[in-house]
Amino acid sequence: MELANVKTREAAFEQLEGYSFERKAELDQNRSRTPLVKSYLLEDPECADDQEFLQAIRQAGHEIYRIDDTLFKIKDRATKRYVGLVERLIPRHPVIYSHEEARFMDGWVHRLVNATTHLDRLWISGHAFERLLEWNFENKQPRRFGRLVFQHTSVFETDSPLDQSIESDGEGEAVLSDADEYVPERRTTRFTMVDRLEVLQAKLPKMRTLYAPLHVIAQLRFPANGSTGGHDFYFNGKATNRSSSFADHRAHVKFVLETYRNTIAKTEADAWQHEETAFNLTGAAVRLRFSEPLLQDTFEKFITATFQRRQNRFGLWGDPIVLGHSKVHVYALDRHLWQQLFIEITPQQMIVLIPRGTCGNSIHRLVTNVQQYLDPAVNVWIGDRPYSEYVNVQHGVTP
Amino acid sequence: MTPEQLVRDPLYQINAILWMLTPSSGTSIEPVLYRAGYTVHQIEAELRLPLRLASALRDAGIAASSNVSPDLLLKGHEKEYLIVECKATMFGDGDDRSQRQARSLLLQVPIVLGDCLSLQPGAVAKTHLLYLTAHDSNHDQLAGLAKLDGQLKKAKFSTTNHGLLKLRVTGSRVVIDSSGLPPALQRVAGWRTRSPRVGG
Repeated sequence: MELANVKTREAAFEQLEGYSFERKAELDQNRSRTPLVKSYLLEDPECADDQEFLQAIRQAGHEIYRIDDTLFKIKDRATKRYVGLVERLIPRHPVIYSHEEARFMDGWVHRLVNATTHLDRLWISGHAFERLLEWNFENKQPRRFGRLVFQHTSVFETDSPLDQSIESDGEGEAVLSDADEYVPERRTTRFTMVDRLEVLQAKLPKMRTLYAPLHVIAQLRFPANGSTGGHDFYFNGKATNRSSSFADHRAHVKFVLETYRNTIAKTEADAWQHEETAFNLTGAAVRLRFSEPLLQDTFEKFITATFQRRQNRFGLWGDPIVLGHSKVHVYALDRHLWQQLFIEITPQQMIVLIPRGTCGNSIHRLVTNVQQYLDPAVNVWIGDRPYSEYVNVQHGVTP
Repeated sequence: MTPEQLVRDPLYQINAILWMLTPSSGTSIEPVLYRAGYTVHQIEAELRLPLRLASALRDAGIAASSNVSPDLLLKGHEKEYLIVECKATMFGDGDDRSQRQARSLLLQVPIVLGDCLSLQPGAVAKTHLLYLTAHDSNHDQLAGLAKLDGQLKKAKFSTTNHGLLKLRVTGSRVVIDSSGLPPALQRVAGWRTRSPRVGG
């Protein structure tokens, strides 16, 4: 696929449509040799105007060229290659579409996001995926195949010493290798289920009562409309098109983004702390109640690894104030966006207050990471409302 | 083929529209759509209803096609789009394929059509839906479409302008009856067209 000569939106999407069709044909013949179309869903927390958005990309070292009001193409400055298109699909959420290989593009997007505070990934927690899975059950044909990947690593509950892997800033996508590498002794789950939606709907609730990591969906497939295959969404906002249509893929990307946008808006509306009067602070606390109290050792490792290590999976920074052997207060900063969170942590729960202006994405990142690395079955409330209600897909009607 | 059969033939119907879009087609059909500023944007464009809208329809118990491919999608001046669907006969109320398709077409207001075509926001300013069929004086051919429109509006869904062009055989001529057009589409109304003599 060649983007150099693409000058219009129509030409760009026609190329992506044709490319997607050919890749699906190869997949169906079990001879996939060329990369699939991938989308990387991002957040622009400050809703930067066009100039700031373009500047953010350029500051990361790349060239970006406008095609129309909301569509651009990006050239990697190092390789001089056009690596994809970026569309400001809905306000505050640019999406990068690329046909490059995943092992190149995943790292490319990771470095882009890390290079600027103007961009962040989407953070789709197990709770959020749960609601999207329910939507699939309600709206897709029950005989269609769904695909779920569950992923959880209890990095803080381990018999091994506090090891380097805890400090990793990785996003939890690493496939575990049992070759010659050191494999820490801790609970680790990476489990894929592919079955008809009606079977998943019937069996999953019972399976969850037996094994908590099955609460942590890290990848979810939406069956495609009008063809076999589907669209695989990852917890970090990546989506892979495994259908024959780019238009269908884009429609699903937009749907997930709109759901995410609604969730953030509602989270911010309810959870932002602000003063109504000098004596009256409003805004709901975010409470993450662990399904079982953390072991003291786990609690201490979590605090040490998260707030006393420069690189940590939660992306937080702060100086914990110890109020007892099992209570800590932290005036924390989200290290990517440099926004504040005030957190109280005990072995039973975390209580988080977010000041007005802190992006709601910080909460979704926290919930995603707690489910992935600390407690897969954590219960989350914003005020007295379950977090899952905030992820409720709003249907609405045509404006 | 008799003239009455001809005006029901899908190929003839689509060609009639295309001739109306062509400044000099070599036929005696007047290029009324060309003069109104329309060009062909897509033929049998696949329009996928936005997922959120499709969900809302299911929740409301309204059956609509999630993918629909109208025969022609025309583009006019100032971001105006005309969706054209040709039918041998029109339909009544119900949930058959024609009705499900019709509901999806009625829902193609500017923001929805723009989404379906993957256009940038604001790229579609106006939409109209036009059915083309053979004239039948035995019943109100627009009644079924009007009922579907009313059903959608009652459930608080926005719908687009819609109208009906009828191909009527008069002697050896085919005439387009535009009495079923709403005011928004009246500029293509009232034109007589002639096809080459058939039969006899």
